[in-house]
Amino acid sequence: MDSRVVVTGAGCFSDFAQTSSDLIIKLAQGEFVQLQSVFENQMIKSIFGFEHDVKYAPLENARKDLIKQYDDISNEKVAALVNVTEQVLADAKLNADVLAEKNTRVFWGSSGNQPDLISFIRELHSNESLDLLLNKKIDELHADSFRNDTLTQPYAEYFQLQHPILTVSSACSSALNAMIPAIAMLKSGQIDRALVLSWQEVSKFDILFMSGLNIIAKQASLPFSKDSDGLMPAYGVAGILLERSTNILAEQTPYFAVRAMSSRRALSGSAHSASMDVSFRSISQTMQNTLDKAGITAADVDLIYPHGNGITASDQSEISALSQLFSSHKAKIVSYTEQTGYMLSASGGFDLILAKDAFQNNRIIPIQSKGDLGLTQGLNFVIKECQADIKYILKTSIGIDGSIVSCLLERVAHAK
Amino acid sequence: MQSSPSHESYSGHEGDPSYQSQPISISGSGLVEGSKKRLFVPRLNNKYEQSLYEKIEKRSGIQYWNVNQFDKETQGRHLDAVSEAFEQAMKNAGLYRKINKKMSQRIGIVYFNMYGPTSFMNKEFQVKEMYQSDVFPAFLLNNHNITGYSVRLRGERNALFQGLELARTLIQSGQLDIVVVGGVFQTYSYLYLTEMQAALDWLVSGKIKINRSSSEYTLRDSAGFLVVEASNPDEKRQAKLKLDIDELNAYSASKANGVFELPGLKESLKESSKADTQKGRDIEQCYFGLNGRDEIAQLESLLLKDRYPSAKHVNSYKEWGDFVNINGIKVLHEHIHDQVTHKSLLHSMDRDGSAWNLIFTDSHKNKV
Repeated sequence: MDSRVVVTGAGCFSDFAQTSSDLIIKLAQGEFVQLQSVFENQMIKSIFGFEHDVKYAPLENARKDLIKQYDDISNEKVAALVNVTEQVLADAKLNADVLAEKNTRVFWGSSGNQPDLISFIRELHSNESLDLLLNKKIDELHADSFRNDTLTQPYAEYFQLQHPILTVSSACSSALNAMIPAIAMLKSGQIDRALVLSWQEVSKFDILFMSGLNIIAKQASLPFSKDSDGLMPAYGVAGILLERSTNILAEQTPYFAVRAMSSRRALSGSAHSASMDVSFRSISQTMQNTLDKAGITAADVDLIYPHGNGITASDQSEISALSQLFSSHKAKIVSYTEQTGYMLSASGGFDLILAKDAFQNNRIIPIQSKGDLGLTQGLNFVIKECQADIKYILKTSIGIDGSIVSCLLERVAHAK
Repeated sequence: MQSSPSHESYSGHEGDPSYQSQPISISGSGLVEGSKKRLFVPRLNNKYEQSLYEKIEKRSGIQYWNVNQFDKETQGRHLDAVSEAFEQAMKNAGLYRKINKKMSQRIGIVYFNMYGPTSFMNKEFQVKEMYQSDVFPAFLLNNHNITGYSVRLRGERNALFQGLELARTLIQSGQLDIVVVGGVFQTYSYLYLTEMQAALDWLVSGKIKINRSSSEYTLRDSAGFLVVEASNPDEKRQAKLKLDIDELNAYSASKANGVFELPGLKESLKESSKADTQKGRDIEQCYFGLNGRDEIAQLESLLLKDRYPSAKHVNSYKEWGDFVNINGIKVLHEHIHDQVTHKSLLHSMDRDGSAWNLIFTDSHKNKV
């Protein structure tokens, strides 16, 4: 009996695209996300020592518009998550009631709720009555701004979930790492459906953190280009519905199956240092493990979505790993990060939506880059739209915490 | 240690069915508690802190916040406590040596703190500390050569239960052989004051009368870890401790006709637990009170007395103070070291709208 785990629905919400079809159309048209300055206030910019104009896509205006659609939701982050959930369910031809069933679980791949430090940074260590009067946002220095259940609880109530939401964080590989327990529960028969939502807000706190690590772009984020000088963060929400193939309804159309996954941690040379220097060997080992689990070889892979965050060292490691495994094979490679912005925890989730288009339409939307893709020489990066008979897609995500996840997707043959 | 199970778990084939039903056990625990006692007094140059303190005193009657923090001189900073607690747990499980290359990918860590990124609240924080503290303490992996699936969880007071459930899933699916579950709690005045404020709001919204009888509240910085693995009588490694997880499940407390409606909660607990009334009689000890608020502890006590009438009831807050997200680890750690042989239950309810119960039995190898 065919009991694979299949993807039956997908959805997304970001500054670049507010639905799956929007995402695909805009990528195919070669559009780029509109970025805005992080610090419009020059004084705050100088307080934090920024000399250059840092840009990001924070999903501010779109969220403000979105929440107006929901009378019973007061939190913009929750509204975005609910919206993507509704998109996923509609795509899967299911009603929201299925989320309230005992055999359904919801997983979030996300760093979770967090406050924006900027709201209270000046009052953090000392403050007077006047500060409390002038800064109405000091109330955000509250446990509720930090607790994740400020978001999970209203979301769970909205959909009447039977089980607590499991929020898994592994930095920028969170989307794929959240799929691992979801698939395990599906395969064991513990559940029939798993909704995996991945998201990460880009707060000014994140900007400060990433600047401290010297990974945020000062000029331009051009993944796989030698001209790139860092990443360009974007707030996005992506969702997929995973189901056992034996459970899907006649009216549903599974897009593809998750054939194999592999997740590991790269170790750092020094016992107490951070694992930011992910080696190409760790990446290639993770991809090879996935292929071994699936029982296929590198020669069988048709298309690869690498992580491609725009950090030169990380991109070069990926290129080396891809060269080692795929340079003598047919696999085509494509990355859309430069167009969409770097979705951090949700980056893997967005690529799974694109996998749906690739399998459905047997086409590969080409990479668009404003930089020189010299680093990619010797690999089959797709620079012009092409048709391809795609059976296997390999997706890899890398977290700044040293986590590496690889996922092999397989075409599902439709009886219809 | 058991041999590596099927690596085909996610390969499109069903995993080994016998493996999927294999029970799990806790084979090691480690805990470091803050030892520097102080009475919290709002800072004179901090009007916001003063205002929170006064509001909470008025509503709850709490005047004395007994805060036990990590002693920087003898215990180091909170990441040192994390490292020490992890070492203890690994040692207790017989795993204190560096993990060999073959096993390295079969061991993972599920880590949690209480509030996500908080290191910027520490006065002398550095980016490196933020990275280790707010993202993931990667030094734990490096120190022990651990390369398996490892993540951070956001589950607040119920994080231990979510972590144990995730560990069970990873072990039973064949993804990992051993999962080290645990994390850290650090006291920050703004956060424990506003946490109390939110807890009081939660009780009021549920039409629960605030109990103002206690003028003291005790909090403790803590770091704790549990080593979780498949129960396997043939294992060669001699773990000193063993606590079999008989049952672990969650139920939705918010659907029980309102969060604080006892009849609905009784029904939900009964439905969620596989243990029938006959089995329920085996449970000799019920731990509860992990929420910290007395009103919730009273509700839990009534709930558990109804289901397990002959069991001894232990309110963890009354016994040890509030370790917040580490409360569950404190209970299990104490239980393991007391070497109590009977079947016990650990119950938790939090503001996230879910409740958990964990039924476990001590099966210490050296016991007769």
